[in-house]
Amino acid sequence: MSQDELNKPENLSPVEKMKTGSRGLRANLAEEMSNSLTGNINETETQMIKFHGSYAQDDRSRREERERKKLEWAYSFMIRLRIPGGDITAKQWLGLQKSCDTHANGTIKITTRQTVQFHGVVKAHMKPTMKDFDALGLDSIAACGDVNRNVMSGGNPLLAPYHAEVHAYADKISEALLPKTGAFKEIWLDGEKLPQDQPAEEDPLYQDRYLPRKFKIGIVIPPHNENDVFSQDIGLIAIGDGKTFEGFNVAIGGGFGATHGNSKTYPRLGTIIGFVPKDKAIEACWQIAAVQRDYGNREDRRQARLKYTLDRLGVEFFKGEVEKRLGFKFEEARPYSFTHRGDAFGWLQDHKNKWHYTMFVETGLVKDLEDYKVKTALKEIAELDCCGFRFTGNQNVMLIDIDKKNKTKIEKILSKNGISTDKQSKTRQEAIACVALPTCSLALAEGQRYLPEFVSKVEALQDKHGLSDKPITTRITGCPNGCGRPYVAEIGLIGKAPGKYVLRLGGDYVGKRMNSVYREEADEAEILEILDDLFAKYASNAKDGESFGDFANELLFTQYAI
Amino acid sequence: MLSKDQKALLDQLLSSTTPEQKVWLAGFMQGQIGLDTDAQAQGTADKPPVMIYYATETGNSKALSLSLMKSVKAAGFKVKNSAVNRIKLEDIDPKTIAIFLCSTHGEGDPPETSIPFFDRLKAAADNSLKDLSYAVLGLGDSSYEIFCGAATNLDTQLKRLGGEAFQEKELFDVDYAIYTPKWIESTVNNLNKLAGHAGTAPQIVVVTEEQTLHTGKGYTRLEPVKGIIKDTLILNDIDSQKQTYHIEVTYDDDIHYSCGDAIGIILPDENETPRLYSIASSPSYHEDEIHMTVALATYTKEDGTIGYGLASKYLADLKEGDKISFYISQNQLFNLAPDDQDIIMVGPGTGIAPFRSFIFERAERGSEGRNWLFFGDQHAHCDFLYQAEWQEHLATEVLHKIDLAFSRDQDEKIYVQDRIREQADDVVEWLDNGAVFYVCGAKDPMSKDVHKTLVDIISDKKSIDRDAAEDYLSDMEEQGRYLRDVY
Repeated sequence: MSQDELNKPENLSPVEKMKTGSRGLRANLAEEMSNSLTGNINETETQMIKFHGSYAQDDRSRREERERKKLEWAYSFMIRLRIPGGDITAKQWLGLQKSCDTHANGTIKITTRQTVQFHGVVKAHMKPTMKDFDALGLDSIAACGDVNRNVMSGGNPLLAPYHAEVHAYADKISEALLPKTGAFKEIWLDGEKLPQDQPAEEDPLYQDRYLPRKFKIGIVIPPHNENDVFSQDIGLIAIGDGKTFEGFNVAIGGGFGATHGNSKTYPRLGTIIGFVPKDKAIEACWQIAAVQRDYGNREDRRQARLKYTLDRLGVEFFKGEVEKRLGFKFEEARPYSFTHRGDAFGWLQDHKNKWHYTMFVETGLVKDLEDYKVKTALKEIAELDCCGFRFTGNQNVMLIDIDKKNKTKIEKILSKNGISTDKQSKTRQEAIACVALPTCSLALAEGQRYLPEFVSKVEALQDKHGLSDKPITTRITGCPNGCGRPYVAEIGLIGKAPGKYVLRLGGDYVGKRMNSVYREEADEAEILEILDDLFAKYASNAKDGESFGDFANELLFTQYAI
Repeated sequence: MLSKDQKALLDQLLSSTTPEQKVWLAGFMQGQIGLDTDAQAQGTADKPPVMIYYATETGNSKALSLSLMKSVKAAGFKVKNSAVNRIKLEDIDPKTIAIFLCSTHGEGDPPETSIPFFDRLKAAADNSLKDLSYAVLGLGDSSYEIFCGAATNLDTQLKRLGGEAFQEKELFDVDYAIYTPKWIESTVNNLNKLAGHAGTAPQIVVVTEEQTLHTGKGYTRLEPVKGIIKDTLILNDIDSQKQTYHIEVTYDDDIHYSCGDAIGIILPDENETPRLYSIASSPSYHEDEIHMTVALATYTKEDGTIGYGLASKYLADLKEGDKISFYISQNQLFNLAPDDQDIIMVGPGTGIAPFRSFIFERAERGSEGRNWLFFGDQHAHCDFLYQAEWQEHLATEVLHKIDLAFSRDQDEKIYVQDRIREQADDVVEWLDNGAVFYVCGAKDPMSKDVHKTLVDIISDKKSIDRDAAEDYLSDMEEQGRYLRDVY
């Protein structure tokens, strides 16, 4: 279909009409939130509340019980914060824990986008929670919805003296691409109401239609690729000479969402379109989003991400349009290389002699297990008020900028609560899972509740074949939407039905090559049997230093011409 | 338009009426018109009852069942809906027409909650649903290998059990919403055709307004009857500070109760006085069952331990199958108003019980009067007694208005009287229009606060002093339009 024929008013998807009719994301959210007849909200508001960083959900495992009690389903809300680069203060962490205990289910979830979310906030608790965030200097604006989501930035401060300078771009980009509407204050913080006869605030980037679909930006500093830079709509690879930061290589059109059985949908890695000097980087991000706003598919939401716009119009056309609006051209991409994707666990000392500790948080759930008390440890550490908190894209937390004199105090708290980085295998430390059942409405199978058990079984197989010290990236998501980035894992499981997953194999270790479908549908026994067989072959036939993903790709998916 | 005699009668009447009476007459005539047209349009008397069963995973089939119910009802059929997980095979009466709305989950499986029902179908003997007229609509997702497997399976089983499809099974994909309006239309047409040829005349429950006072066995504490606990559950959910029990009792004796009556419970220690609980079920809808809504009473003893109310603890501990001794305590002072009259019901906490009875009764009768409920409790998400039923009554337009006060869902406490005050204009308008005002629940402070609020808003809206407002309420009481069942 040509661009002229696309997006005719009569063909727009219903969500498009909801956006333009929402008066700056207001819709009837204020009224709906005060309606106590139901804990749920209407369709339009369900769409609009996403832009406010929240999803309406229900606990699917409790449906039958609630029906028996003659109650509607157990509706509640997930609220996701906007934390560019994943940085908050110790005071903010304490405030969040308290708020989560008061208004949500008490378990903060660290996400795959360096932020945190609350689950189980019932309608009456929504405003008080948002007010808590505001009092802490935090917000959830644009954490979901068809806007630029939380901006990620690589966390390891060791690797480049310009880490802090690069990291600050997450915040700057987030601010520049923030919706201009006052709806958030009005609805959640009792701000002044926009009179009915007045139009919503002007918004040069989002106008009244916002983006066609979600939009994600992430920054990495080579050789680390912990944010999967090729999974982002805009991936920024920081380039410098080791001392001075110069700018970014820009990769566009990454994105993982797909739909089972719909071959028009697919995961795609970002395409590098060139280099942009640091002082022009924000402008470039803004214009890329603006071109996607104008050219993206607004008829079919399953074809609306930037990756489809690029494949429909061609990368060169898209790049040209961005350059025209910028008034300058992208420079040739600079060389770089990646070696790692996982977090650097444990203690690190940076060039300024500050200490940093990366804590393993399985599936990002901040809770106390009997012998591994993440929640208590983080609370006690935050009470010392001697470090910052940084969430990583691998669902872990870093305690940052610690003076030597405070290191021992923190070590004591860690050890008292059983926190250590020697307890887990490397495979477990690098594993990722999304929330999935029972609250995510898209989930077809288990995610975070199943991952620990699955990893134990993979570990047992690694032991059996003498592969215990090899990290193998393992990721499970409950649906093909891909929140846990399973398409760039060495072992990727994508939920299809309860207990059944699509098995994808052969991604590389650092996230530059996507994996491929090996089985369209397999249960645990079949998956373990396949892995058992592959591990045996890998143990005896792998070349020196060859990762499991590379080995599997070569063995299973590479065809040779005869 | 009027004959000479009619005109003379009308003139005579009008010359002697006060302005207020004229207003009332206007409303009364409006009601009469509604009555006549409804009677023409409906004629439920010669149509077989329709049951809509849904098997739902995400609520789509359930939502669709509500739309279908409205259309079928508008066509003059008696109609009810139910989730298949709530019924047994014996509950399906072959004299009714059954419409199944069935979603499919995963690889051709039925929705999780309905698996037991499908198992029962499979296990049933051939022809155990002989002559049942039915239809099946399947909802599914064609991106899965087995499209609408559950609906197809259901259709096969119903055929095997001797059912006769009165229309072809339809299977819709994820875009079903586009096609359902047409399907509903053709289904209603087919139902009409079917009703035209229906061989057996369905049984019609005739509800009369007359209420006779029963005497004898089952109606006094001296001559109680035996009841069996059919079901018991706690209505409150996680986070609640309360334990409110919903208890269903069945009985074999030929006893009858009316909406507004109470059930008298004989305690095992026969020296104790029997305790009365407002009946929460409708005699027409919940046939041969009595439902109770019982709050477990707790108090702190002197030694700091928790004590329980004797009667409520006894009821709370009952299990399915247990026997109890009870009688019907008739309440002539808390009757359900005639079908054409509007009613306003104020029933926070367990005060909700009689109003559940009222609304199911009015739904079953197809009463024309409007129904307005004020309910309150502590928390919306865990203390909203019978929430799903009220939502359904609103969706089917049996309940016209609902106002809710959850006292602990915000910093300042909000109670039912605060909601009545917010709705002052409409409340006074309904009262002027002849509505009956019911209050059930705690005498102190609730019913007193509600009364005070009524005086306030009546004096305010009618610009009369408080004494005159009290007189207005006394007049209502005399006319049987201000009824209280408080304890």
